[in-house]
Amino acid sequence: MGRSLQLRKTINYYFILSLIIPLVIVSSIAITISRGFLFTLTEQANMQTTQTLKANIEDFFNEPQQDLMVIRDTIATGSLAEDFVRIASAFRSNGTHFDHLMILDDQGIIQNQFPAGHDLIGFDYSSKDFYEAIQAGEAFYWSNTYVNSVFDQVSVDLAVPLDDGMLVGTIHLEKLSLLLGDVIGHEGQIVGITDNRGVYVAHPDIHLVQQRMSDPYVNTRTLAFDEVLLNGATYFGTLSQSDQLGWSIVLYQDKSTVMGEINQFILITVSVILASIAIVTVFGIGITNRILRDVKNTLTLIQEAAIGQYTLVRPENLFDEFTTITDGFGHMVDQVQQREKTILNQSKEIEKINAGLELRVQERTAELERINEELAEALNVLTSAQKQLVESEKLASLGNLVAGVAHEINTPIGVALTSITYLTEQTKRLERSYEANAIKRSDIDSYFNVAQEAESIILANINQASELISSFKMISADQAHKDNRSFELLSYTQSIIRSLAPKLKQKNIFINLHCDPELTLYGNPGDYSQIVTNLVINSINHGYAHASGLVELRIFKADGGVNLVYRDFGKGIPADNLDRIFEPFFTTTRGSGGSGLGLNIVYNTVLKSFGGSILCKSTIGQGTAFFVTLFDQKK
Amino acid sequence: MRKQFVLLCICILLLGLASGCVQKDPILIGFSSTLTGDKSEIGIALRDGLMLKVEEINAAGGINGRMVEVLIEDDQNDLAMVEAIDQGFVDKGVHAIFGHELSSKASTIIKATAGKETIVISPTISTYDLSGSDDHFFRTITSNYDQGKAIAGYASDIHRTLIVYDNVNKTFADGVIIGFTDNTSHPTDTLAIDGEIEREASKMVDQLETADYDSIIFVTNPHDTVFLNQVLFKEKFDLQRFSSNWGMAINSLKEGGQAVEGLVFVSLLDQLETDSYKAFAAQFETRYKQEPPFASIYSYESALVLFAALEKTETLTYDDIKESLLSLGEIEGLMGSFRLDQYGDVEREPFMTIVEKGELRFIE
Repeated sequence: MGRSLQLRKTINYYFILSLIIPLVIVSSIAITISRGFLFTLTEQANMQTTQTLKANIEDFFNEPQQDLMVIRDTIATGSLAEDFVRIASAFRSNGTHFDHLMILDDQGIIQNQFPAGHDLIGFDYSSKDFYEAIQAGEAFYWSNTYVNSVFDQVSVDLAVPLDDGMLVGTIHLEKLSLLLGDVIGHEGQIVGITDNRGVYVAHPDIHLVQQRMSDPYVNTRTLAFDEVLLNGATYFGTLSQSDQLGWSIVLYQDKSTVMGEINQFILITVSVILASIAIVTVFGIGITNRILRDVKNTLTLIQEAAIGQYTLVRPENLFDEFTTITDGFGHMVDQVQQREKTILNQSKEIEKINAGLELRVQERTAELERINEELAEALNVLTSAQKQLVESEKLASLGNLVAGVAHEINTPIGVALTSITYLTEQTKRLERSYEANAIKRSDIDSYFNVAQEAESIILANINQASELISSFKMISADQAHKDNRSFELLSYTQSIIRSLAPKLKQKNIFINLHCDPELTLYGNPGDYSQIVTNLVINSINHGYAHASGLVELRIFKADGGVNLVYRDFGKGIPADNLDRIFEPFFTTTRGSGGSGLGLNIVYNTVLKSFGGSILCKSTIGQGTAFFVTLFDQKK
Repeated sequence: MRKQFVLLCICILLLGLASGCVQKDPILIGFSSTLTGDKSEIGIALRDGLMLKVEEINAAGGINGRMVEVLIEDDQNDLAMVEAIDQGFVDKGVHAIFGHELSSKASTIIKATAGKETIVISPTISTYDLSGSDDHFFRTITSNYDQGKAIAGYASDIHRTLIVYDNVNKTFADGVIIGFTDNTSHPTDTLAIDGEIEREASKMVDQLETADYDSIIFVTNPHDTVFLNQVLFKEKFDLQRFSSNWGMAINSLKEGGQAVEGLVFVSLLDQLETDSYKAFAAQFETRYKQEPPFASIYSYESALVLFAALEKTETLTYDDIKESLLSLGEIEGLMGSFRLDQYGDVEREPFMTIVEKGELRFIE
């Protein structure tokens, strides 16, 4: 969960910010635009002023130029000295610009002057610029401004050709300040006129003119309302140069006055913003407080409900929305109260049911425990039954043995019996002959031949029976005892096969045994007999159920034991059953007496009694093979 | 809410304050000379030379980050004004007083500033009286005595000389006169002028007619020198004419025409062929649209000395500035290198020049 916010602060901030941000943006834009606009206005006004002054200056220079030419033309037509004084004084009384007039000859020597005052006649002005210019053919020439040491005035000279010499008029520039009259006086403005050298010839501060002060920027840069430093203060400078003599008009607008107007505008704007913020803040806080009062009422209601106070007094809210909320909440509380009652009732019932349930669970648990015990017991019974079954299966193979023994012994005993019976008859017949003395030698010889033949037959068959009995005895003893010993595999296996002879003969099955006569195995021979017997019985009952055939048993020496390869060529085991053949009680002949334990006994015996392994491979119609490994149990 | 508002106000206040207090206090220089009237042109030339250097320094960011501010006053060639202005400068705590232009004002300057621990440096006051004293007065021009001596050395074949001098600048004139008379044996008369120039010119003409003068020496300001020569030209006097360097402190030869042809000036300017001079002259001509006059050259050079010393002075106290000035060593000026002696004065060799075809030519 994120940071939790306080409603009062949030609403107040949002109120103020939603006002301040648009106001600040709008004001900034307004101030920026207005600032530029005010700047442009001032710039244009200053340009206008300098242009006006430029026009004034050009007029100022045009008039005396005309005047001097008229004077020159008037003089040229009259006789020189007296006429000059008369004409000059006439012009002077008509208000000419010239403060001093003089006539120079072709050598630059002053020939005449007006007014008389300082006596300059005879002075050589041939090195003055105007002399050189007029002599070079100029129609008129304005000099640089200079301090006229004779008149102690900042002056400028105008010369026009007169005959071989020239007429020179001197104007004292104090008049020029009159030109500024109309344009100076604006607050924060300094307007000056400089000559072509940048020296002030008119300036609101007359001292600068008198002191021949140079404008710091006229000769070094152009100014178009550029920010410049003047006497340590910042000004916006505008410079306009007159083509007439290269004089310049400079106007410096005090930055602080321009900025003052702009700042005043900004101040008003900012004041309006602040006032707006203050008003909205007051209103905003008022509204916030009213909202918060309703919120508080609602909260109180909720808190009361939360502690279970369902008898609610609905507050008087200012806002309909809060009334709707509290009404809705009241309704909700009523509902909650009702549901609570219902739930309370239901929960009591549930408690009861729960109590009954617990008892039932206990009973069921006890029952289950009992059943469990019974099942465990049943399992024990089953396990022992299985053991018994296995044992009885093992005994069944012993039964086979007994049947085999009976069958095998029956024949030699029968032959012996027949021989004895025949011998007995011959003996009785000889006895009767003897008693009758009718014995003939041939009878005795015949009897001896019969006796000897019977004797040998009996002996041979009794011996055979005896051998059979001893070998069966050995196998049966091995079945009964679990002692380990070393036994020769060939003879022992032959004995087992012999014990199975009746069944094999019955099905006409022949066993082909391959085994090295020297090969022995250390272990329980009874267990070994169980393995071989059950494999052979399996082939008889299943592989050759309806046919005769060959069984092949090959025994090889292996490392620490032997390998048995048992193979029949019967009908084979289906692949689905192949995985299950070693499972106990798995049988395909349950109906016809199969127990399903034969191969399970083989499997368990191989694993447990010989620590070996067994693998079965089978192909339907081709037969089944078992690959068995048995290890000596010495260690 | 209230806390945030107060914080906002403080931020705005701090921003306002921060924007206002960055600039260091300026270095104050008091400049005073005669700046108005017909004797103002030397003062104006001095001011122009100084201001060129000041503008150059300020454009480059000032001295050690401090702008140079020059308080300019016009002493109207009135000694009472000189005293009042210099006292005013001292009261305002200027770091140095630059100017005045005439040796006649020297004693008044000393009177106004003595013991006030304010450096005074003048480009053109060359009065002999102030040489060789360990004081607060520094000059970059050689003494006036040497000028008189130089004229005497040059004018060896003259027999009787009239020295016309401006009584207003008698202090300067005295040095030149003594320098001349100490080094010559022939009769010498002096004529002080201190009134309207036309009247004084008549007195000169009258004086010249009283004896058999073959030579005249002007120790007058440039305009008066030209005017008196115009009168001599007009009256067709044939004299060997000499002038102290005062007469050529501004470019006034254009006023003289043939009247100043053959006039011999003592010049304190050499051939002006150094790179630093050429750079200065180009700068000056751009700024003022005229060739730099003598007074501006000396003013610029003095400013060079003063500001070099101020730049090496961290405290800007009187003692440190004085120490710094005296320890400047070899100074690379506009006319080669020079050195202030232990008294803050300089010795330079005067040259002789003659006006030929409106131009000054150096005399070997």
